[in-house]
Amino acid sequence: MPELARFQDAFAAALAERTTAPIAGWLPDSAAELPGLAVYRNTIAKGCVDALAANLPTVARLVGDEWFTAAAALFARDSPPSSAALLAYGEAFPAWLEAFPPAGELPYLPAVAWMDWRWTTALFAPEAEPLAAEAFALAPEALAAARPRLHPSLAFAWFDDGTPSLWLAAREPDADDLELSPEPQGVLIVRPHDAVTARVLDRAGHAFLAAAHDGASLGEAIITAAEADPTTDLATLFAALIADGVFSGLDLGDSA
Amino acid sequence: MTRSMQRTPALALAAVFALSAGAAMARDDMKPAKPEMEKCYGVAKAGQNDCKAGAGTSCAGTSKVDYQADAWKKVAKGTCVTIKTPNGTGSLTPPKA
Repeated sequence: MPELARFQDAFAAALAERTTAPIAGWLPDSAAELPGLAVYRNTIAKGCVDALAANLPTVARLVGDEWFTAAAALFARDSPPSSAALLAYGEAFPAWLEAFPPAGELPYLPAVAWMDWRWTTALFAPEAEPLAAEAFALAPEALAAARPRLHPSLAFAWFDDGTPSLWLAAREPDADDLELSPEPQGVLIVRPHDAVTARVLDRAGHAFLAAAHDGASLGEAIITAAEADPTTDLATLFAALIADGVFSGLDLGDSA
Repeated sequence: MTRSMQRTPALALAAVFALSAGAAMARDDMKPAKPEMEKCYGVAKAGQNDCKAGAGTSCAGTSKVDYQADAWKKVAKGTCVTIKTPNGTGSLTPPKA
């Protein structure tokens, strides 16, 4: 390994490990303390904290800057970024929050962090043109047999309380009087064109997407949705998902 | 598909026709795709980061903070303190122990 690369690795280790030992060989006095290293450590920490605040804006807003900054700095030490680009940094933050005792009184916070992170990664997901409604103008049997391809930016999940509504409300510019409902809800996050959109998903809608995600045909998926909630209006459900732009392709197969 | 369709033929038939009805509904409802906004990597809209370069890549701002010496003693001051939950209003105080 070239000398420069070895030094850079050692320097990074000295910053991460908070000791000059890794770079002792390059120092005139190997026992010397180097208080200047704190400047580098702090700059790295600030970069991580700023990226987390940008990637997880709703969490930052809910807990306030001071709390978020301190928590993010602890997280960044426990779980430093694995790539130089920090666009998607914070994937591990929801799980970290779950195990972080000071967040214990905000049980919805990890789910909020997860939705923030999926919102951010949807922004940078690969481009794909969503299917227009015309693409579904097929004979009923052919439509039912077709297997949908889901948009690469699509994320969806089911929660055992109303955190999705709370998250959406907290992202509004004038968020006030927020409330966490005990009713289970799902969330849908997708970027069909240039802007990320998110909305609450009901049980049938979530069942449909989960089935489609597992490779079901449209017919199988809509039946799964009907079974999840027999009272749901299936035509409206499907029309809404088309309008959301969650479908990027349709495999018609030949058995239709 | 056939397995669950055999299980509940009436439901399955209705569901399959709902697909066609839904597709027709979507055709009526959907406006022509409009370009909502340019995806932009240089200009960050508040709360919707598009760009991560800049702050943090220099010493700017670092002189006022020390991220290394943070003993945990923070009280949350964001909007979480007013959120009504099934278990009452949220609060976030340092652990007593």
